[in-house]
Order: sequence, then structure tokens, then C-alpha cells
Amino acid sequence: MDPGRWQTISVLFAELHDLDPAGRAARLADLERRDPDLHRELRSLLAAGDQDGALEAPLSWDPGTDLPPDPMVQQRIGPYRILERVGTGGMGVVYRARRDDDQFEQEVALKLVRRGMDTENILTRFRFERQILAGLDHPNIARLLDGGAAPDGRPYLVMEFVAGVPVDVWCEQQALSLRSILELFLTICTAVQHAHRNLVVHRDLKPANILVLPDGRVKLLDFGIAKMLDPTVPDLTRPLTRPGARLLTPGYAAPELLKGERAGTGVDVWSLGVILHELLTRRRPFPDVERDPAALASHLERHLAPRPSTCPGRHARQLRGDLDVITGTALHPDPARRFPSVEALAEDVRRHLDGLPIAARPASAGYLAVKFIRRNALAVGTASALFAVTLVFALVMAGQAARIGRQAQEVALQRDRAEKVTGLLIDMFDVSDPMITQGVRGDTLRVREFLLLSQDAMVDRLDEEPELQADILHLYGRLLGNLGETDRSLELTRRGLEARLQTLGPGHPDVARSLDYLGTLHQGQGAYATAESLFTAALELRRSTLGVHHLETAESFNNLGVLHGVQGRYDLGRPLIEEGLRLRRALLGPRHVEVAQSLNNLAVATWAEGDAAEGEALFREALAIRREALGARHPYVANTLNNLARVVRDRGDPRTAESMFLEAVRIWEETLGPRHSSVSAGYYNLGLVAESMEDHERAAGFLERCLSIDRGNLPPGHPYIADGALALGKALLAAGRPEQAEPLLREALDIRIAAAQDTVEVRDQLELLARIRTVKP
Amino acid sequence: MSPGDITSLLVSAERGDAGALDRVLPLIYEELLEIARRHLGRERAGHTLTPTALVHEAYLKLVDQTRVSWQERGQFLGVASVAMRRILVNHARDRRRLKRGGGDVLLPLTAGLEVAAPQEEPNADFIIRLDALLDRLSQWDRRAARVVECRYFAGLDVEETALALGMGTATVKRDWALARAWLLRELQGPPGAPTSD
Repeated sequence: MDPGRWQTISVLFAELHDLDPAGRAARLADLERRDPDLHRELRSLLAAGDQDGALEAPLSWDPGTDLPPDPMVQQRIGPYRILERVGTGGMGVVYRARRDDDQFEQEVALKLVRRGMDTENILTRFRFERQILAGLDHPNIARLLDGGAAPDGRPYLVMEFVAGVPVDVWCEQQALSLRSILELFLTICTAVQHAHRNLVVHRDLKPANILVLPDGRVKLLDFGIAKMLDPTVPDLTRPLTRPGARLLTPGYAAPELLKGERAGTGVDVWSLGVILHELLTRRRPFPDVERDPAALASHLERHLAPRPSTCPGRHARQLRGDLDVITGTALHPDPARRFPSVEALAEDVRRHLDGLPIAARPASAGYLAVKFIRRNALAVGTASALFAVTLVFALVMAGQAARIGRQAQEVALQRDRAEKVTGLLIDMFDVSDPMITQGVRGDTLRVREFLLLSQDAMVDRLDEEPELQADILHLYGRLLGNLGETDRSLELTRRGLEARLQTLGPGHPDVARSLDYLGTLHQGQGAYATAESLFTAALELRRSTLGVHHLETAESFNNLGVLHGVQGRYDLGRPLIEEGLRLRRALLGPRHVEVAQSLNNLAVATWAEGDAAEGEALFREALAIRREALGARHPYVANTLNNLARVVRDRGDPRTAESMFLEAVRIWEETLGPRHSSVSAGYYNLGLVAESMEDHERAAGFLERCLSIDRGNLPPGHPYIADGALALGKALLAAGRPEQAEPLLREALDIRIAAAQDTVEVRDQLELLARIRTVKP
Repeated sequence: MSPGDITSLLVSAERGDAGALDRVLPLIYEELLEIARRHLGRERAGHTLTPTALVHEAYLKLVDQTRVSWQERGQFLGVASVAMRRILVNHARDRRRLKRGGGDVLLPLTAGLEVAAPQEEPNADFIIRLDALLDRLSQWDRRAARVVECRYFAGLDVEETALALGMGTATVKRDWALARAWLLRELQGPPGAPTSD
């Protein structure tokens, strides 16, 4: 066929095809006169095209049973001959195979990993994990025997062959009684417990991985395999460069796994909860949303798991009460509110069987409060927390050695040592924390770099020591936060909080530390409502766990008070700050740095409420204590100096004020680095002073520096950027540079309008914010 | 195969790495077969597979939905349609060999096949003839042949076909109507009779 002719046919066919019969006949007759060949062609095509039904529905396919046979059958892989294909899953195909070298007469299950997965990575992991997995010696766990690379390069794993049926099918076939189901479930728990004690998390527990042999014995398959094959688990030998999707089994994967967060033993507790629910009711708890991880995750934000007794089924009545609570506790979206371990889950099932009261309690309002706080606190940076890893080989090996030599004594020794190391680290880093130590430091930048580079390795090394890991996360978060690395700090502090909630539970004072510091970070970002809920939660937690007469409780009073002040609510803030001051004086004596902090904050509130003289006196007292305790060039000294300068300016002494502001800025620059938010605050104040002396060019210079630092540190719509842009715009206008002033003034206006609808409120806030600029704890 | 890998290949293809699409084809081919095997393993009586279901299942399984754009979805469907055609044609060839070798399995006719298919071994022979005709059609109208691949072999609807081939739905409909008419006409002609080549 000539393409040109086909083109003509194509155009005419399209035209004729859409015509009614009469129109079509006329057009065809016309065509017949002009080009008989073309006419014949089109007529036959139109006639063929008019057949209804033919070729219209897509091809349906009944391949019978003779699909191309699996080419692997009868092939040899390593010393194994493939006998039969027994299953497929997300990771690959499973074959029944036999060792073919006459060494053993043993049938095995050979799992051949799918084509396209990262062979090298999997094999590396396999070499690391095999010792541990091979050490999982338990009658209910199918042993990992071997592994290697097939001739085509795909990795394979060899396991004990289990000729059983999935546990759900077994329960069905045997029509097991409720008691028998629960006893079977306890056996499963024992196996999982054993693995957890050996630091192996299954991560993919589901009925298909829990087989029951004809004699009733249970075998769990694939321990540790999911992690080995998960592309999102960092490679041990090189930095992870590309995120991949997890291999998850929808319906059984815990929400934290769905969200791509770090997975601990809690994910197995969750899966066991799903399995228990399924064995009891013959259906999974979230059938409607389970296939879509995002839908399930958002469903779990709003709903708890359904109670088994509300599901239609044989045992509904017997499930009411204990078993509802047990599955509900295993299926808690918040890992910290789940059973803390498989032991705890099994213990409650056992107590239920023995007719004893169970330990789990139904979800309470307290949970909802914690969850609310967490949701708000964690809103920043929850996107899949993947980190490039710089893991040192030797360290991994050391960690392995520690895990393998697992006598209790040795573990205790390891922990002791680890605690000492942490202590040392904290001391070491405290020296370089500019907020904690005095002194002029030019090497802040290098410290920052070191922290940023080392954080992942430090954190990952402690994977098996969750409490320590949480401390390290918190420590790094604070250090980086003090250095102005707010995003990193938020992320690490948040992870620290997660880890503490998971390991310590929500009622631990360390959790309050995380909440408190997260509050500080959010306050710095202008997220005042979030900061307030965090500070309030921290205060409540400290009051209830540590009591009122405690320094950390005093800190919470102080921080919450300052936060009210920052928002202009000095009437609310002042009593809290005063309470913090009272407690600190009582606990630390009158001339302690923490007392000075309270004095500084109280001074701000006093001055803001209109008592300038009393405010100045309090600032001077705070300054004296800080200089005495911290030395002349500490950032806290600069904080108070800055505030004092503001008071001095207001009482009409701009020259003295300017020199004090300048000294404060110099100290901050030296100790915190040139781009710290305090430096920008200092330049802002310097700009206002210069402006008040009608030195507009000088003011513009200061304000430009302020704005440039803020733009680098803060999100575009932040109120501080509006402040800076407005002040700079005014200065430029006064300096006779309106064309430069205009875009800045517009930007400030846009931010303000976005922040508040009511212009009167905007004006009020402008006034308040200007005053707040002096507030630095 | 993990969703991430296929997705990365599709993304590379989208960015102009021509080799990436070639590497995707065998992966998708294998996956489609794999899914078919699994369905057959369930041995449901009278169970027929629709290519549509296979392709969609493979898509859900192979592609990390959080990372792909509509373009990559289109590319996946485009490649899957080629793979699906190969699977069905290869299967038909195997089937015919089996039959010649003395097998006695008769395949049921499907709605679309009854009109044109010859009497014996309708399904297999029909598919093989259709395949050959499509090869011919693609010599002068590759686009229309691809539309048939998508609509008939992979069971994509008009919108998906448009996405897969990067064309408008109106063009898909036009190409489909013409290619279908041409194929039906050629199928009806007795084998060996002169055709409008």
C-alpha cells in the first residue's frame, strides 16, 4: 500500500464513516465517477467496518493450562536442582528444589529473587545477615540455609522446605475452635518473640508466611528476608542515592512501614494483630483501604481498627471484651500505644485464655491528646525519611559481633560501654555548643559541617540501641538547632521524639524534653500554635512526672511564658515566667545563669507592659549575672545586651543604644556564625536605631544584612521577612530611593495580608512584632 | 522487580534514554506472564483472563504510583501493549504447535472472533493471522497498527490508548475505525486471495 494513497483513504473513510446512509451513498456515488478504484476500496472498508461486534471487544484470553512452562524447572542453580514451582510473591518465585551434589538428601525451598532487583546490594546484605538469620534456631522458624547468585546473576535464598498450608487456610480446614486458634496464635508469637530477642524483625508477617504442617506444627518463613530485599533499607556499603518503593504486603503492613518511617519490632506486633483479627473473624481489619498505602494511612489517622466482635462471624459474641481490646491494642496506629512487645501481646492472649484480667486497656482520650500533639509537632518533615548513609564497615562489623555474642552479660557490658561513650560525646559536643559554653569561637562552621556529615552515621550505628539512638537524635537536633540549622534540627528532634515515644512510652520525662525543644524550634519558625501545644504538653508531662519543684518544670514555665509574650500576651506570659524564676531561684540560688534567663524574660514582659524603668533594672541584673557566669562574649550576654539596648534607645539615648547593639551583633557573629537568626535580629535593631537618628543610608545597610540573613534561613512568608522588608523599604524611601523601596513594601504588605485579613489587626501586629524583636530568651 | 526499578526506567525513558524502554519491555513481558500464571494457578473453572486486567494488575504492581506522571503511565501502557501482543501471539503459536502434535484442546470462541475466524483452531490461527496483518498494516500506518495493539491486544480504552501513544482521543477513534475495517476486510478474504496491498 502506498502511504499517500492510504492517507487519502484514511481521510475519506473518516468522512464517510460519520455520514448517515443517504449522505454516504451520495458521496460514494460521486467518488465512483471520479475514481472507481478508490470507490471500491472505500466501499469494502465501510462494509467491513459496519459489522457490529467484530473486533470490538478486546481479545479475551483463555490460555488453558499450557502457558509456557517456567523455564527454571529442572535447571540447576548452584548445587540445587529445581523441581517445581511452588509460589510467587512480590520478591520473586519460590521453587521446591533438591540439593544435587549428593551431599545431602534434602528438599529445600529456593527463593529466586525477581529480575531487576539490585543483586549486588541484596547479596551484600545477605552476607551480613546470614549469620544472624542462620542463628535463628527455633522449632517454629524455617531455617535459612544458603544463598548465592543464579547463573543469570539473580540472587537466590535457600530455606528449609515446609510442605504446609497457610495458617488461615489451616484454621478453616480444621474448623478450629476459638481456643485452638488462640493457642496456635500463641505458638506463632513464641517464634516471633524468639526472632525479636535475636534482633531480627520479620516485617512481612502474613498467613502466607506462616505454614502449618499436616501434623499441626507451625513454621514461620522468611524471617529477615523482607529487610534484605527492601530497596529502601540503606545499602551497607555505599550511600543510598535513589529511593525505591518498599515491598509491602498490603493489608498486613504497619502504618509506619506504609509511611516509609523507621520500622521496629512494632511492625510485627501490628501484623500479628491483623493476623489475629483475620483468624478470629476470617477477614482483615481494613479490607476497603488496604490496597492503597496512602488511603490506609489516612484512614488510620481517623479510625481505629474495627473490633472483631462487630465483624460478622461465628465467634462474634466470644470476641467481645478482651479480644476486642487485644486486637485493638496490637492494631494501634501509634506504635507507642501498641503492645510494647510481642511478649506483651502473647501474655494478654494467654491471660485471656486463663480467664485472668488482661493488661491492655481500651484507647483513651489521653491517647487522642498525644496523637494530636504528635500530628501537629510532626507536620514538618514527615515525608519519607530516607537518609544517605555513610556507614563505616568496621563499625557495622563491630555491631554484628556484639549482636552475635549475645550472652546477657556481654550485652550488659556493651550497653555500659555505649552509655559511657554517649556521655563522652555529650561532653565533647557541649564544648562546641555556642549556646552552652562561653568563649569566642571561629570554628563554628567546621563544627556545623562535622555535625551534618556525621549525623547519619552516628544515628545508624545505634540502630539496635533505640534509647541511645533517641538521645543522640535529640542531641544532634539541639546542636544543629543552636547553630541555626533549623530544618535538620526539626527533623532530628522529631525523630528523637518518635524514638522516645516508641521506646519509653508517652509518659517519660525525656519525651517532654523532645516536646519542649520541638516547641522552641517551631516558635523560631513562627508556628506559634504548634509551639504552644508542644510547650503545654511538655509542661503537663513534667508536672506529672517530675513534680513542680524541678528545673525542667521551671524551664517549661519559662518557655510557655515566653511564647505567650512573643505573641503579645504578656498578661498570660508574665505569671508563668515569674513562676519559672521563683523555682529557679529556689533550686539554684540567686546568681545562676538560668535565673538570669528568667530575669531577662521577665524584663521583656515588664518593659512591654509599660514599666520601662523596672524593665531596664531587670535587664541589668540579668546582664550582670550572665557576664559573671559566662564571660563577656557569650551569646546569652549578647541577648541581654541587645534587649537592654532597646530600652536605652527608647528612653532617648540612641547613640549608647547603637554601641550596645553593635557589641551584641559582634558577639553573635563570633559565636554563632554570621548567618544566625540572632545576628539578623541585631542588624534589624541597628537599622531601627540608625533610622531614628535619620541616618537612612546607614539604616538601609544594616537592614539589608538583616533581610539577606532572614531570606536564607526562613520560609518566604515568614513575619520576620515582612518586618525586614518593611523597615528596609521605609529606610530606602526616606533615603530617596523609592524605586528600590517599592518592591520591598509590596512584599511586606503581601505577607501581612496573607497572615491576617483585618488591616487593623495587621497594624496592631506590626507594633507587637516590632517590640517582639527584642525578645530573645 | 521492584516498583522503583521499573519506575526509574520509565522516568529515564521519559527523559530521553531510548535504551530504557527497551529494557522495560522484557520486564513487563515477564511480569504479565507471571500474573497470568498465578491466575491460572488458582484454577478457576471457566476463568478467562482479560488483557485489560492483566495490564492493570501489572501496572499496579510494577510502577511506584507515587513517582510517576501521566506520561510515564502512558509509556507503561504503550510498552505493555507491545508485550501483551507478543504474549498472546506466542501463546497462539505454542497452542497451534500443540494441536498439530495431537493435542485436543479446543478453545472457546470469543465474541469478537466468530465473524472472521476460520473453522478449526479459531483462536490461535485467528490471532496469528491478525498478527501478520498488523505487521503489514504497520508498514504504511504504524500508528494505526499501534492503536490496534493497545485497543485489541492490551484491552486499553480510548483514553488510555491516547495516553499510551501520545495522541488525541479523536485520532485514536479515527485510526481505530479504519484499522478495524481494514483488518476485518482482510480477514474475510479467503486466505491467499488477492488483497489490496
